[in-house]
Amino acid sequence: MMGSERRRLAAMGESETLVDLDLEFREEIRSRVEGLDPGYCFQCGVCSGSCPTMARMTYGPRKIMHMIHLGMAERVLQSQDIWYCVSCFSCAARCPQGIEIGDVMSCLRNMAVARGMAVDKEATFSRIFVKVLQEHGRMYEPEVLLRYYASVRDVDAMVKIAPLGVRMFLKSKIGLLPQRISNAGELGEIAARIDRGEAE
Amino acid sequence: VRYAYYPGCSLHAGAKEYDISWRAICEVLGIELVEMENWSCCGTVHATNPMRFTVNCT
Repeated sequence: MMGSERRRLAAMGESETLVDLDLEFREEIRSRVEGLDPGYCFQCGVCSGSCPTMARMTYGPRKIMHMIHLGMAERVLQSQDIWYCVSCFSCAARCPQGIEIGDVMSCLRNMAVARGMAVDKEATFSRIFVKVLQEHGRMYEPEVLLRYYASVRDVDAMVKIAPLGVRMFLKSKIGLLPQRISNAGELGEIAARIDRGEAE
Repeated sequence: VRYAYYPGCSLHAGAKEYDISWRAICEVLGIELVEMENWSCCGTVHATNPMRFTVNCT
């Protein structure tokens, strides 16, 4: 590692050693994301400045892009930030280099799942969200939240959010029962086919 | 004018005020909205990825 890279890491408050860096990481992302090579990022920070969930993130998109460049695969893939991305694509829309940062984020989510590194509870939330979707064909928030809080065993959080559910119910923003479509099973089949690589 | 209309889950639930406004606006503009039959969730962040489904995170 060059001295300047080490200084940059130190500036980020990190203490990665050479052993932890995976230089294949950025190559894999480059091959999986269409558009400009993320290596063209010059760290202007407009992405992090535009990100609506920046306040919840540990690093934010600018640092994530930098960490990709440095090969900090483990830290990026285990980060909650990739799960806090809401795919609004403000980052990509405003990126002066035109890098598809939103696509990089979803690429990272997929890589985290594939490598068994999707350890954040946000990953659990996504998994349950999709399960509910595949069962009903449409979203039913109360079920997602109940199953999510049950699976992360966080009764306190569930109790805390309950009044919001009641208020939404009173405004008929939550139904008593989920809306179902007649052929929800087909969604699961489509997902399975994509997973088998039949329809990328 | 008739348009096919895909409201998505939110416009049937948490954001139904947008559905109400949109229908009211279209009525004034003389646009007839025909809601697609049996539409499914768009999957939002959790299921729509350009490359693969995040879905299969098992």
